[in-house]
Amino acid sequence: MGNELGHYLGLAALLFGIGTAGFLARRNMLIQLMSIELMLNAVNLVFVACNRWAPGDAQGQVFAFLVIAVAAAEAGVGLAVVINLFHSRRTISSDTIHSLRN
Amino acid sequence: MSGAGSVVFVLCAAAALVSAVLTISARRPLRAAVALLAHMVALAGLYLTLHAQALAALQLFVYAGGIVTLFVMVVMMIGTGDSATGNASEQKSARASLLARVAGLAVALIFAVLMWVALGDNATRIPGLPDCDPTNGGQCDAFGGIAQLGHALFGDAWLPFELTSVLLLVAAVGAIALHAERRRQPSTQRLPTSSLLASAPGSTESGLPGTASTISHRDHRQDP
Repeated sequence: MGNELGHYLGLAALLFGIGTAGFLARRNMLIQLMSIELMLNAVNLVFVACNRWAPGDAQGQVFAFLVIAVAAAEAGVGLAVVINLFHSRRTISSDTIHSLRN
Repeated sequence: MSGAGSVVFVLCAAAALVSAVLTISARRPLRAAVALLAHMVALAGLYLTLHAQALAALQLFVYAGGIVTLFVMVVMMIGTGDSATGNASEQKSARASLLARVAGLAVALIFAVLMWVALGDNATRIPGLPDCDPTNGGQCDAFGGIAQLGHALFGDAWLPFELTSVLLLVAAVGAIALHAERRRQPSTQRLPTSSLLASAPGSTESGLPGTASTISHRDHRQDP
């Protein structure tokens, strides 16, 4: 029995769920950014796996490439924001940094 | 091929799952970053089982070699003390964190069920990976190679590609602008470089004492 598409998609669903749980459960902003990266990687896995089972063109791989590029830009700006927050508030806990909430 | 492919898939999938759980449950951010690195490498292995070798290489270069490195550098800058990393406030109620974990598991199950329903028979009827014989007409040969990805990026998907390069430029400029905004604010953490120059022990004796004194005068004038 070889690998099936369902195996890859089930694994991607599990990884996405783990990323979601990490984002909701943790209050450290760095860990939250890492959970976002987990979710983006799960979606990349779905794209590439579906492309493998429909190998006529490379659309899945192109999407995955663009997701990687956008994740790099987002990680760069997000980390710059986290550094600024740390230097002004001396904490990176999203529980204490909520001045926009009310 | 299918036996070895299954073994590699199971190994990489287990590694990806374990490292993902370690990433979200690590107490210290540096351990989470190392677990994230292992997760990226496991995903590159999964892309290789899917014959997408160009994306596997890109994943290693950009994600593992770029983004995770950026995370590690930020962890180095922010520090790993308890008050700095927000660990002190992680002791939210056990009920809330349990709720978050249940929500994550529910999201995973909902997505798995949705994909199962959407795929229908296609999830299990296809016996395995398409056979990549060289005699298969060449379509499977080109899959996942850099030639196919390059043709697609510079052919059909040229507009998203160009927009992505603009996005990366904007992100780089934005990150620098955020830092420049911080530097303009009076801050107690900036090094007093002018006093360092003025109090350097050898500056008044050696070489050019005139320039040393003018440099210190110039810096004192620039102090706000």
